[in-house]
Amino acid sequence: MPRLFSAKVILYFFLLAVLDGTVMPVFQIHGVYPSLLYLFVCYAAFEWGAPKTLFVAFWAGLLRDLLGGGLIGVEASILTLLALALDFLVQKMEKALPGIYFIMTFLFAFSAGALRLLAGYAGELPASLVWNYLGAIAMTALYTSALLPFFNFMTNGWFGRSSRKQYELFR
Amino acid sequence: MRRWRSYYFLAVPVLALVLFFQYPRFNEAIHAFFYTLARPAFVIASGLRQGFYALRYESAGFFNAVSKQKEYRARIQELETQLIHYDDMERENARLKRLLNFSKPLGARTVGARVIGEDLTPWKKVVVLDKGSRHNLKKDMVVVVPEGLVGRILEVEPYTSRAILLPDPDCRVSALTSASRAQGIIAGIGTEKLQMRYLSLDAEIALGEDVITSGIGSVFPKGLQIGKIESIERDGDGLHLLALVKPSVPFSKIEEVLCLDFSQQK
Repeated sequence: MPRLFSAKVILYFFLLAVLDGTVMPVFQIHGVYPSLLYLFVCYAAFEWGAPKTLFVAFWAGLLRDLLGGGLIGVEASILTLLALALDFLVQKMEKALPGIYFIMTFLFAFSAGALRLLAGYAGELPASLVWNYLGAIAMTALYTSALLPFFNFMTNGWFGRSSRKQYELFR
Repeated sequence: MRRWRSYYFLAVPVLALVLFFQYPRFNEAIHAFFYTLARPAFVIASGLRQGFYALRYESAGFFNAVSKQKEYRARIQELETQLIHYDDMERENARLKRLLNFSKPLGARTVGARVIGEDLTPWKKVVVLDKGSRHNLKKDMVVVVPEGLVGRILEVEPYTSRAILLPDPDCRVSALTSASRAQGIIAGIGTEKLQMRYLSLDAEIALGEDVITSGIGSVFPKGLQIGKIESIERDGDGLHLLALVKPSVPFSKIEEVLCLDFSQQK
């Protein structure tokens, strides 16, 4: 587990933010593309445990706020709140269940998107559009969670460690 | 104690949220500072982005081109025939313009910019451009590509700017259909398609008809291509028609754009 205020972690945050904003949109399918910063929060929850997840969630949210151009603090609050819930679930979950990491990442990304939608358009959107946006959020969450094994490999490579966890959907 | 420390940590972003909500100018200044600082990284990453674009779209395009060679040859012949017809029309148009003493409109000032980033929210369609106020970009400048209208400049920072695209739910453009001249409002719905709202119930719109900007309002000039009508139905309230429009611009593949400034014409 690396020190959180090390250059490696800070640089990795910045790299993920830049990739999220520039390269990931190239891989979009029907207008949705995954978020590596969401994956980093989930990775921190699965690999590093409770206190570090909150730190990662806060900075990931802040970077997303800065990249997004909206009100700073919205995504940071949402991701920190969800990181609290994720930490709680990680402690309680049955780790041997196949696909559990995939499901939790999906739920995390979906909840983050849905809360962001709620914060941005509470009560202003017609019902038909809400379903459109929820569909886009679900697709984003699915796409994001599908990248978890690749992200795990990439992050382990960056921090120079080998994972003890099995991230595949089926085993 | 450990548990409470987690809740204290949650207080930090909430406090930041309250602070920035209270002082929007401070919020804008932080954004401008971040993009100025991160711009070199974004410009470098946009090179990588273009590489991936080429890999994803152009390699597939090569195989498509080979398979569509015959189709394109026939299309070229057809277009050459049309071109002769258009030459005649252009001459006729020039004569009529002289007759009506029309003056040739002044060209807008243009600034070319490269897309270096995109908004991370799934339903938002906002892109980051590599030019800002230092390159004479201004808020509400019209953004176009050769295929048609892309959107408008939303925010301008010294070295970067953010452009809102037509599929964004917060983007509205006054439009009309090219043949039937039915007026409506183009709006994004969070997908790749656009909606043309508030069309009159008696509008005789044909499927496949072109949709262009109407020029109503102070932002978009008249006649910019938006897309084609794909389907028409009655609106939920039953008072208007609602058309689904297929945009002429491939919004997922935009790399360079042209920003037009019409403010000097007004």
